[in-house]
Amino acid sequence: MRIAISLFLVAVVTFLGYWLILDQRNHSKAIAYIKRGDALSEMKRYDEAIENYQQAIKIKVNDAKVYNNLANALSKKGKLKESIAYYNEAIRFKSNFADAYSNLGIILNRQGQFEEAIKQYRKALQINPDLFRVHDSLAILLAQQGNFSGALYHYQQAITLYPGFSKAHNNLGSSLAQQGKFEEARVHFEKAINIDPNYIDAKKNLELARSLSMEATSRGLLSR
Amino acid sequence: MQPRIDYQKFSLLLMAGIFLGGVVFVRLRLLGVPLERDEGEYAYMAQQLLQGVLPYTESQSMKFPGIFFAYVGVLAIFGESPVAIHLALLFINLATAFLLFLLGRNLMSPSVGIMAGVSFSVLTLSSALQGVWANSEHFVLLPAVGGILLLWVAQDKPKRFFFSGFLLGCALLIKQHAVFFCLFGMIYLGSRLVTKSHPLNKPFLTIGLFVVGGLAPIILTALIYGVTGNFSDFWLCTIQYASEYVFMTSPGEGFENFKYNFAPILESNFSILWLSLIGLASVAWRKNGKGEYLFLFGFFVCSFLATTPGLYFRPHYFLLWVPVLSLLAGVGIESLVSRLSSYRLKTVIPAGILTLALGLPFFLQKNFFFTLPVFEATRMIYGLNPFSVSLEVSKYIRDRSQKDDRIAVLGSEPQIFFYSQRRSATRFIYMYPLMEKHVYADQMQRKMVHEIEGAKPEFIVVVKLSGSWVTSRPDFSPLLKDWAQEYLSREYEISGVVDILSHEKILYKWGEQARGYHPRSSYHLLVHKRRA
Repeated sequence: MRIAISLFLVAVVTFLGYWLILDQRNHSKAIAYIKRGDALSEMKRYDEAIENYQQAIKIKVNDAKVYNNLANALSKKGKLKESIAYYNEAIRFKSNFADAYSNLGIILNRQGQFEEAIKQYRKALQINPDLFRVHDSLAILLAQQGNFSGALYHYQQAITLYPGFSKAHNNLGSSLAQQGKFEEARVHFEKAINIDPNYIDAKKNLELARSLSMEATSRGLLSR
Repeated sequence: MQPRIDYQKFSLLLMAGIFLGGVVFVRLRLLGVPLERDEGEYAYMAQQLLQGVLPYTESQSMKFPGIFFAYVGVLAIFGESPVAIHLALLFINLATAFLLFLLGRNLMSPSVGIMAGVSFSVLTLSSALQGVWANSEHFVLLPAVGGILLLWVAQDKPKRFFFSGFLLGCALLIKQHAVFFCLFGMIYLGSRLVTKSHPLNKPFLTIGLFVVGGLAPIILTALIYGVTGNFSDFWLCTIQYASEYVFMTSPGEGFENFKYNFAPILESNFSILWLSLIGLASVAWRKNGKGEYLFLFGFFVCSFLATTPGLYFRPHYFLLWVPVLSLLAGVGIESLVSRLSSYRLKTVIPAGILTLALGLPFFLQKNFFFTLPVFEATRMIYGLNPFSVSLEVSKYIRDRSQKDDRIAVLGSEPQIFFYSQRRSATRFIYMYPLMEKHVYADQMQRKMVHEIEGAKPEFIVVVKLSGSWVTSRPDFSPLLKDWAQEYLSREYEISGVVDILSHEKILYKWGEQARGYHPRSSYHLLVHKRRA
């Protein structure tokens, strides 16, 4: 009896080993397609990249990253509907895939579905609060909706996580200026220019903030 | 009766000799494979040690220092080149195989010993295990197998338990993973405390000596660092950061790592590993030797556990599992023929099975073993990683810098420091710790920037290859990238470009040619020289 059980176990483990080898071969093939897809995406040859990702998906159906990369390539080709579908697939296979949520948010934003985009950004940040670019994107949308306190919070998060984030400094400055806080705005425009001396928008904003600040001061003096 | 036994042994020894000859031939043929990055790290640290610089004081590494001490011996005896390092590995591998033969002989029978020793040599040569590169696991196995052998043959001689512990402690000093071999020793001694079949004579003295022996290498090392005032560096690198490192992989990712890294090993060595499985199962039909089986089973479990820390399951980690798998393969062959009554069959069949089991891995890996030139063999295993191009880059730097000049590599290619014989401008010779998600990463990046700006290195090599960094992370502050862009354009000029167009085609451009050249591939190395 003992011998029979041990031989049965040997057979089971042998079968498992065989399955492991077959699975690995498929995995290697899929990885080759994914790597080729990534390299082609980097070279902006999106059509070929899409083909490679689709081949990878045929072999390895449950890899969330491939769906995400495929969706990225599709969005670059302007196929937004398809890309949304693939981001959703990526999320279906990996429910805590922060990148897929934030990418989906970007596409929804481009489509003008701002509420939905905000939702996706928030989900991404719930999973990974260190995504500084997502903080910035979310803040822009919140500011557009007039939610300045929310926007300020997320801009602050973005520049805390990445102090060299010139775009976030500029955006934060703009939000502050919109609320009439020109002095605070000036500080952030200056920071943006310090980080990137060729940042034209920040330079224009700084000029504007200076003149508006002076205007506000003189108006204040007059009213006094 | 006597000559019959000799025939049996003779046939096994003959086959073992032929395969060992094959292993030696392949290792000698591949002596010149360029160093991969871990070897580069060990060799550079050892080079530094030979110049009186203690590990961790000028360079960061999370590995215990034993491997650097071992490499010091290698460099001092064999010389400072890839050939010398791989020649040393050949001797270390043969010595471990011999110890394993002794362990198999004492544990089971001389036939098991022979089969285990030669199986070990063939398995550890496997390309899927990156066996021809002198990774730390090879160096762990020599003292670990020695310690386990002493543990088994110690009987009741207290000195032997001390030395067994000491050897296992040395294994631990080489790589933290070996803690599971020490654990195995403790479990074995503990089992002898509670079982009546083979009790210890002086249990507390025995266990005490084993523990003291085991702790001695670590304590001595800690004392050296304490006395020289460098204990905090040692602690930060090998304990604090290493503790962060082992908890970065989720169990799901760990399982994937295991699956995809173990499968190629299984595929190219399935004949030997299947015999190991038979060896494990044969406990069901072998009538005696239950104690020996328990010992083997414990060794099997602890060896597997030694491959698990961090759940990375890198191919060379599996080397730690190989000794016990080889022993079990020997047991497997012996068990398959244990019920045969014909003497002739008992002579022919084990030698036949051994030939088939060891011949298949040779056949399946024949290209790597016998055909591919060393650089192509390296690319087959490591893809586009810049291990062969590092030789050219280092030569260029060495020829154009002074001995005291410092260099920096923005990438994880420490072999460049070793080949060029130039010291690193920063303690960070690997970029991985700076890019991973842990509490020290940001602080490490800032420190690196500060150190490079302070040291003003003569050359800075930028490695644009994902293998030299880690997968790009969207949540990671690009502080280092921003700084490098600005600093390099201000203080340095391009003086070399290595454009890795494919496995076969690599373009090297130096001096004026490099300055006007834009790399065509996204995989390339840029050598920056400090402006005059």
